[in-house]
Amino acid sequence: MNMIIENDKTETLTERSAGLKIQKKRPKLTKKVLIKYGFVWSILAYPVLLFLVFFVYVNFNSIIMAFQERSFTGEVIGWVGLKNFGDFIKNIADSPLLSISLKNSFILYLAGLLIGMTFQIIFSYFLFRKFWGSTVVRFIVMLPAIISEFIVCLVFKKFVEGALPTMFETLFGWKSFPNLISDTNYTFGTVVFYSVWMSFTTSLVMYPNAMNQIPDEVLESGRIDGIQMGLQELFYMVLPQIFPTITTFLITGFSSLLTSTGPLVAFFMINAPQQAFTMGYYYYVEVAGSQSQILYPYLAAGGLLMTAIMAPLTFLLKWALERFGPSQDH
Amino acid sequence: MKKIISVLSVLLGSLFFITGCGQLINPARKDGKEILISVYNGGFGVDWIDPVIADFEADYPEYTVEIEDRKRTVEEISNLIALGQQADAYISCVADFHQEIYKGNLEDLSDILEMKVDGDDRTIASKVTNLDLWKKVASKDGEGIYMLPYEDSVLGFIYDHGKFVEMGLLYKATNDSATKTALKNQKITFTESGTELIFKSSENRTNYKEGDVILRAGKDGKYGTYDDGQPITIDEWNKMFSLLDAYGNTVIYSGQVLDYTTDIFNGIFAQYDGVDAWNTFFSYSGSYQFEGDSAPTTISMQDGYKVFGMTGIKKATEFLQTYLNNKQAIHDVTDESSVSHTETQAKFVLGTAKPSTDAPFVGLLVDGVWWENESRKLIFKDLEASNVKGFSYGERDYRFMLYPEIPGQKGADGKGNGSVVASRTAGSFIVPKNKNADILEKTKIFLSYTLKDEHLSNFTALTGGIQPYNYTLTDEQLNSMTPFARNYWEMYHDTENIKIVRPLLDRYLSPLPYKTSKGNAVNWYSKIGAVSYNMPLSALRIAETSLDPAISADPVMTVFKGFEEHFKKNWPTYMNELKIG
Amino acid sequence: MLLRLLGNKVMSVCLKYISIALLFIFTFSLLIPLIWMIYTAMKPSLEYFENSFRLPQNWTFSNFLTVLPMLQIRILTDRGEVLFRVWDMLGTSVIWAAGNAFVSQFFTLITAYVIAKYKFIGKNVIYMIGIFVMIVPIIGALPSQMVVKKALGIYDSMFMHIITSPGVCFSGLWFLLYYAAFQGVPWEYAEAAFIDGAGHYKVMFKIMLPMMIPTFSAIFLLGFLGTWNDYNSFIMWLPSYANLAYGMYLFQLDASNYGASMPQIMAGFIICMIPTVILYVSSQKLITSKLMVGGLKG
Repeated sequence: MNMIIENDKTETLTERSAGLKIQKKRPKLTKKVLIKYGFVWSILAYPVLLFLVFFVYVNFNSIIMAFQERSFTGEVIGWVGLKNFGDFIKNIADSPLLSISLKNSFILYLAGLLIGMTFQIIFSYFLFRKFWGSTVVRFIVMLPAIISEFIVCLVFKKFVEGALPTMFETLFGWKSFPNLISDTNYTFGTVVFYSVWMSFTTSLVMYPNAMNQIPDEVLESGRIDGIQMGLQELFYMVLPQIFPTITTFLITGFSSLLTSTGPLVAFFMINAPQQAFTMGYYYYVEVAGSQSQILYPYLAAGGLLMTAIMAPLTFLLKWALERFGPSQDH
Repeated sequence: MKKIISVLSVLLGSLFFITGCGQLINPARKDGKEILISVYNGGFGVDWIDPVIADFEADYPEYTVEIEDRKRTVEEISNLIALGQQADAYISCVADFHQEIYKGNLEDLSDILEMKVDGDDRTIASKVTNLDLWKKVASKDGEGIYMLPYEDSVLGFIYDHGKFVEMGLLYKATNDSATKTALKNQKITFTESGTELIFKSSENRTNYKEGDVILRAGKDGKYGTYDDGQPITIDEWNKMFSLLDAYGNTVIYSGQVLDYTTDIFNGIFAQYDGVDAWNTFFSYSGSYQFEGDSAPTTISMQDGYKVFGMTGIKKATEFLQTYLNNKQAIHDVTDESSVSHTETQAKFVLGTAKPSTDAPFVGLLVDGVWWENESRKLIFKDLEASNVKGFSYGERDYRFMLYPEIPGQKGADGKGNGSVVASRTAGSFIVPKNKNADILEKTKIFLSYTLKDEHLSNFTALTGGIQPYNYTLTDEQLNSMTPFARNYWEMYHDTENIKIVRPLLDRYLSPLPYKTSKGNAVNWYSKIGAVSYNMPLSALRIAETSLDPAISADPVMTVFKGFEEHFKKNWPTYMNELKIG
Repeated sequence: MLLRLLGNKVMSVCLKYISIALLFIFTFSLLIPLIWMIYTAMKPSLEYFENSFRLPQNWTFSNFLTVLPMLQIRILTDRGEVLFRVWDMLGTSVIWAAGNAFVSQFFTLITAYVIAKYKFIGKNVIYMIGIFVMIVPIIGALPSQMVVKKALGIYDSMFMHIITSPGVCFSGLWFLLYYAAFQGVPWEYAEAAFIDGAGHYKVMFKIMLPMMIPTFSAIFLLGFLGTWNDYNSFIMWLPSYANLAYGMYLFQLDASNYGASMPQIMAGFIICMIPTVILYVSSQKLITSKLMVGGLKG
């Protein structure tokens, strides 16, 4: 018979199991439990209220709005069934912008993923390994996040439009360096560059911190097994350990695929060349072009359609990453 | 230590809490004898009003006039009126106060028109150059007049005449008997030097100095005036542009204020189709013979959108595309939305004064008559401080370059002759309703003082701008003005050869801007695909880079058709709002 | 093959130095426009017009002096016309940034505490809703948000915005961060306090929350810095107020009306950047050491 001796008390395994089974029953509504629940819900009351108003009600209202027709001033004129959805789909189908906008959205996301994330992880590894100058690097990479994003964007735009061609002319005598923002051959490339370039700021803080949480013994064991410190260690030892962090960024990044406008609004307001449109920017132009509430139902319907596409895809990605991603077990 | 930090934090927090709300500005009247006048502090500044104040306060010593020099928008003024914090009068660069007129928030200024301020029998009404137009656009259902004109500022191509002469871009007078006879008739003496005629002297005022080569008379047929030597035909205009392109850049305009190019567009449209068609365009009432039609079509408000099919609009779109959207030839800043109009002015001047990497030579600046005064304390001051000779304020001979003759045009006289230019701003002054009858009366008197001949002429002498009233300048005043200001004065008063159209005023020939959701928005929405773009140049840029080959193949036609498409779609809504049809 | 290459010692060292070199190049690229901004701010306008890239030949601080009086915004509000000078906008920035960061972080913190440390009915539901909200993109809710905010009197009220700033407290990266941090805090401290007779509030405020002060401080600072640079909220929801970022946005839009040239605009930007850069420099270590994001398990 299996015996358990604990705290000067002896019981059999069966008795312990029975005790545990008893403990699994719902606790009685004692004063202690009531006080606990009172405390818990007193803390959660306000957050839940905010959630109900600003998430549930706002989105519920948005869903309802999608089936309405409204006047300039927002008064509900009537219910139009699926007309707004049909109008949105028809508008997209009629507009030749759809394919380029979708294509650009995916390019922007993939660039951020393949180029941005790859180098973010590599750079973060070396920051984690505290190579010479890493403190200064960490300070500098956070600067754009500290300085207003708007200022950084405007300075970048002015530099690229005005100073960059002048720089090449002054330094190298190149007279016909293009305007990388307004020349439509380069606009989207510049947008992709800027988005990837700016994506490093928070990542180069988060990833090294996640790497710092890896127990030293894990890395030590890898070295004992012959794994070289460097990219080999990064690939075999570090990546699996920080995979949850990577998953978080992958999922949140994917979920914003259709809403991302990149720096297009800051660069162009609504006048970006069509070659640079993304789906998020296409939607923004439609919104910015509307100055009254008459288009709100149409925009709400469009938003719902895009949500209906992206939501299941995001869950699918989450499932796939959890199912097929590397194990974190130490 | 913690307590000190806590106390400091609370104090700092309180301080920030107090300051974080900003400072409420309330125009307080100390003793009820102040008159607050808000003056739009734009290109013309506010210095011109100082002598008016001195004059008024000398006659009414118990009153003081305070000036608020701000760039008040119509929306701001409306909001201030709604809050009861309005000034006693607003001198504005626009005349878009119809909402306030129809709400009953403005005073009728008919009594100002009856005032005699010059010590003779002339009323102010007799001095207004286009009173009929103002009575139409500034009345309430045809009654009264609630806005009076302020400044009348043309926008167009500006060039450095001296530089163009030096570059050989202007046409010289031919040394033949007809020219010599014409010069003698104008009492101009000259010498001959080969094929050139060299100016010696003149009994009347001219733009020449002794030794200058006499240039070909412009469209006005006179020598020594504002348009001498300018290209007249399209071929001559194209030749000039080619030469400018070879030398540097052809045109510069601010990438931040693309709307300046819209007034070039307006001017070409009006010059091609004529002033009558222009008025039909804005009143949506009249007749017009469209391209390809054998007879004129009658246009009325119900189908007013048809006006957007006028041929002059197509010509204007072509002109814009050819001369202002040729990326290879125009200055780089036309593409840079962060470059302001003052920086653009600076680059224009520098391009001649001191060409450099970012400020290469550029031939034509797209700007308005205020530009020189606006740059007075900026680029001209900087150049003077840097000892760059010959480019201080007022030293250069800047002029407006008139548009070329477009084949088939109606021109200024309806027969193909003369030039039409568009005014960028049609300023006005208004007086909000005032419960203080005494201050109201004195405000109107003060405003009438601004319309005295001496103050009107002083305004022009100081700023170069012109107010649309009949007044003259003394020789002394003319001599004190810059060459550009003198040239503009001469051009403005050549009513035989120059017609000025005022889109921001003429649009009120119909009630659409203030009685429908069309609003005060500019006229030129062009539908390109799913989106409408509110400037012809923006629409052209979008069209030419469109992914749809049907659009990008012919951006001019796309944009031209897009105007009618946009307004045709929205027209039923406007008519519904006007309760027509 | 790549993995074998990575194992090769020579290749490993080469790749290491190439990666570090690329990192330095990237870091330097971040500095280029910022350095350009700084020396442009010290360039006379005339020199800038001639060559926007070249270093100044005559270095000057006059642009900073010229731009200071221009850095004021007038906004028409229901109270009347309000003038926001630099220190007014600074004050608004402090209130907005501190208020938003504190209120939203505080509620997120206590929510994370309760969800991480307490077992109660509905706990898993709330947690799952938080994950759902975080990963499901909701597009097109802006029109509805506007209607709701106006109806509740939140629109154009800084106080109401700060109070309602937490949004969905049990979702987002900060919630996950706090959640993970609380999970790492031993419950024995709380149990000991309960035994001594402390109530839940006392345990939370006196024992558990103080343990999170360093993490809270770091995230508060990050939230503060992020909200400090927020100008979109003022455009959309707070038209009667102006913080420094919104002031700069309006200023650079209107700069030509003041006759301000690009060097002066750059000088204006630098003036607005100074508070946040000082704050970041003094708290950099705290911020960078405490940020860690876990997974989205659920």
